[in-house]
Amino acid sequence: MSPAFEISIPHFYSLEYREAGRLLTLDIDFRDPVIYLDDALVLTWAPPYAAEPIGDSERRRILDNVYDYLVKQRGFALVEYNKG
Amino acid sequence: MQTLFSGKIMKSWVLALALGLLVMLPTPTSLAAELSTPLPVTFADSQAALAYYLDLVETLDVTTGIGKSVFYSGAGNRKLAEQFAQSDDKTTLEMTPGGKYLDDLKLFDNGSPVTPDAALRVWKRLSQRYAQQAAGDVFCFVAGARPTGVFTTVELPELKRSRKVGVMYSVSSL
Repeated sequence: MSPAFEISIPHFYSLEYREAGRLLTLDIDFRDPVIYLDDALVLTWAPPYAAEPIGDSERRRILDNVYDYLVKQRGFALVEYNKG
Repeated sequence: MQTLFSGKIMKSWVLALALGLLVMLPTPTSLAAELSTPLPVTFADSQAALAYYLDLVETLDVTTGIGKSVFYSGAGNRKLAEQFAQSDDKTTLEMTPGGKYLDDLKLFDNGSPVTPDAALRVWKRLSQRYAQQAAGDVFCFVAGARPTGVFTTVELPELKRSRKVGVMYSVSSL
């Protein structure tokens, strides 16, 4: 079972992803009509979890969750998801 | 003996106070533009909300000094641009009073009164105004900027059109 997560968009230039008490900030400029999702957006957890590596499957799961949130829950019309 | 709050003096005071309040009473947009923390606003529907924010965005202060404007677009560039702005006495859009005010409204977040597409329209307009006010040299952190992004489609054309803008520096590292 996939762990619970929360997503918020506190700024026009970033999305925050929370999972198991950890925070990940994705650098997305929401002023762009096309939202591009790819591996390069998922870098490191915020301190104090910055040393925890993010593996490929975890990165994929996070991006899947972000994609579903943007497209299915929030109605962002143009989201290009590059699954690598 | 007449006290300050009796008779004619009191009446004139009340009148002056009422007139003063009328003159000073802020409109919603001027109030919003002056406050640093957004007020909660409710709308009949998302169209009314969009109309409100499109009006509001015309009143927000996005001015910077000459040679102080910093632009960014593309992954990783915001952090560089902000570091540069903070260390070099310059300003990014969200560091202006108007940019900060609109950012604090969290128009893209869940619970926003406007759709993502409407929020995009509001932000594009503020970004356009930010580019229009730029004067002197400008500093652009745009390596890897998307052709669909707001810098390429909105800000850059305004900067090129402007007669106030001097050199456009493209900065890719600090």
